[in-house]
Amino acid sequence: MSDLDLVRGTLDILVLKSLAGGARHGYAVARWIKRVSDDALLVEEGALYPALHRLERRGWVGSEWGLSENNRRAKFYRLTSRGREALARESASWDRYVDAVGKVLSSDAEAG
Amino acid sequence: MSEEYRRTFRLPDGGRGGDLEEEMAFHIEAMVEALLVEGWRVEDARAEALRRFGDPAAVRAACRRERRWGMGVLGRLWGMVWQDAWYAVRQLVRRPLSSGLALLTLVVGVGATAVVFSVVHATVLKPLPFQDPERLVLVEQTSPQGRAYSMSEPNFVDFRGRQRTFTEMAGLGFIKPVLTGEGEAVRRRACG
Repeated sequence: MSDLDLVRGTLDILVLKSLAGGARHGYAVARWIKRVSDDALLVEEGALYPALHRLERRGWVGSEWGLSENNRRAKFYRLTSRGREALARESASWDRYVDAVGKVLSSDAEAG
Repeated sequence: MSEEYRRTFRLPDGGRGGDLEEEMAFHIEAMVEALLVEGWRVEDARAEALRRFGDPAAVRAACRRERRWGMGVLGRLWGMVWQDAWYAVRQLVRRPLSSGLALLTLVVGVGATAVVFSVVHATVLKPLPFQDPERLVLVEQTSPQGRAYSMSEPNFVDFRGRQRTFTEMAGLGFIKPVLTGEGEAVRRRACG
């Protein structure tokens, strides 16, 4: 359950961003997004793992098994160079989108 | 039906299914640990983690769809073929006795078939090394009782001279000539 429903396609960019600082396993990705959004965005597992697999399939993230902080086997995802490019591209287009929607919403509807 | 057979005949799950299971198990464990840190009681933490995680089958299905979609028709087909082939190899290795038996059956079967066909080929299918072999006829002289016996040369010459059925006639005899030349003389079976 999340306070804000993620706009379709937004999850992918959030997941990419979460991996920008280094490899993480799925649980850490979800935890990181929750924390940095001040608990506003809760990534559901039912969406997270399909997203990770989708990004891996596109070649934007790679994966390998490693040991978690608690010494348990976990699958770590990391950003590939193509993923890094995609993140930059998608971030820029997200900024333009937010900017445009913001302009519309803050405009004077009476004018024009 | 035993578990083993059910596993044998189970439909493939799109590969990497085991990875996802382990991934999800790890995720739930991590959730349990986080709940314990938050002060949940051990007996409730797991139930709560499972509740929050939701239906693993849905995650499984969504991941499977994800994998299948991106590959394109050929990629998906190739993936399924490869997966089935690999699955077959694993099953064969896991049961060497039945695999060996199947292999033996194939070897004997192919061998027997090859033998039968080469015999049929040599005796029935392959044409004789003569021109128009289908027009070749063996003529034998028989006694009134129906027993075949050899033909004398004058008889043969007579038959050949008077018949109008065949374009050509030749005699066939089995002899045991003595061959001399270099080394010792040897006796050989011959046909001429």
